[in-house]
Amino acid sequence: MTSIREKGVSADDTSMLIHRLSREAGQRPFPRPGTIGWLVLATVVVCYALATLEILLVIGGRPDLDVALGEPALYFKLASMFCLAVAGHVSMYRSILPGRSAPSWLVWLPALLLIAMRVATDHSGQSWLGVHPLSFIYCVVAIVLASVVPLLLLLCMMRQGAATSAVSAGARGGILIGALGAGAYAWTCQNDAGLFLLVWYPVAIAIVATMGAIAGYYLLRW
Amino acid sequence: MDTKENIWASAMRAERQGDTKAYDWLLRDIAQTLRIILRARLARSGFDRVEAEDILQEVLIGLHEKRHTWDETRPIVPWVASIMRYKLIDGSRRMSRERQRYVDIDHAWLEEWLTTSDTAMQEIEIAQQVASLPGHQKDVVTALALEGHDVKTTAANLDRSEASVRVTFQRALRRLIGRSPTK
Repeated sequence: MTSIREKGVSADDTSMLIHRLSREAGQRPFPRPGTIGWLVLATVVVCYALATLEILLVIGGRPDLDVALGEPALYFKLASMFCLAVAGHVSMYRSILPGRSAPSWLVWLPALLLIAMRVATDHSGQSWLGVHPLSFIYCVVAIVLASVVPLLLLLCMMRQGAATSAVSAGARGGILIGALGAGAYAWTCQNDAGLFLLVWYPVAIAIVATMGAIAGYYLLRW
Repeated sequence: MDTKENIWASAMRAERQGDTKAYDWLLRDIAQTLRIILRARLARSGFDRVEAEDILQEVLIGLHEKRHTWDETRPIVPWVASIMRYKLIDGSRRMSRERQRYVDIDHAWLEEWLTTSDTAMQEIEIAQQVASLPGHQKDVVTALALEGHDVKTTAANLDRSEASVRVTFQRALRRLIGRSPTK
């Protein structure tokens, strides 16, 4: 591949460059054309499994899990983060394909609606800061830390695409990973207040998105 | 229909089957089309043809290395356009940075040069002014002011009286500060 990088600056040099490039027709070992969508999706699934594993190994599931499984809070957290992850995935995937525009803002709507529904129907009686005074810091830090390795993994796969705006693509990848990290953290999160989900989950996701934007600036240029 | 879209798309599909001839033709056709736009665009920002060709090659390498990101079921023209735009912005930024580095001067060095050159400029200016003086005045000013001799030595060297040297010097001074010399 390095020989391709040797360039000249006249039209004749361009002609020679084209000659060299054209001899590689049909030789694209990885990723094969048309497979990148599946590769990215598989990476995202691995990222969620990884984040969940990190959370469960380091913190463990919530001790009252059997009770929580009978109440709506956990399902709202999981469902809203799942919807956000789906929207983030669509948005991220399009950002690494040249010529594809960002999806309509409507893709973000289901996640917002679910969170809004949770806020409206919340009867947990908990504070918006969580069960303990510092729960919100713990939650944000846990989601961000659980997201670091999955974020790097996803960015490495995104490099196989062709992001035409590295910062924006990185941020979109960050939203997706942040949602996955939050979805993994939900298994251990005892803060069931609707406002907690409305405020602190998005704060953590925004931090991961910022990390993605910064990392994307360096990793996603080509 | 033989639109660019259809021709390019079928050539790119042929590439995926290993058709080097079709791919060579495709790259040449894209190059030819893009060269015109790139030259026009870059000329407007003050870049020359060589730099346009450089970016064109970046675009071609980009298309080649990222050709797997084109989905056969989608139009190819927006895909090409998007890669070209990316490489154009990226390339012009890079070239601007290179230019900046090229014209950038080390601060300390520049300061020193300015200081030195100021003296040099003054010297040149003085020499020019003195040279513009009439013959006798020029000799007297050169001897007294630039070479630092006293009036007595100068008078002896020029074979003139000390009074004559003083008067000539005075006239020269008046002339140099812009007054018309008394006749």
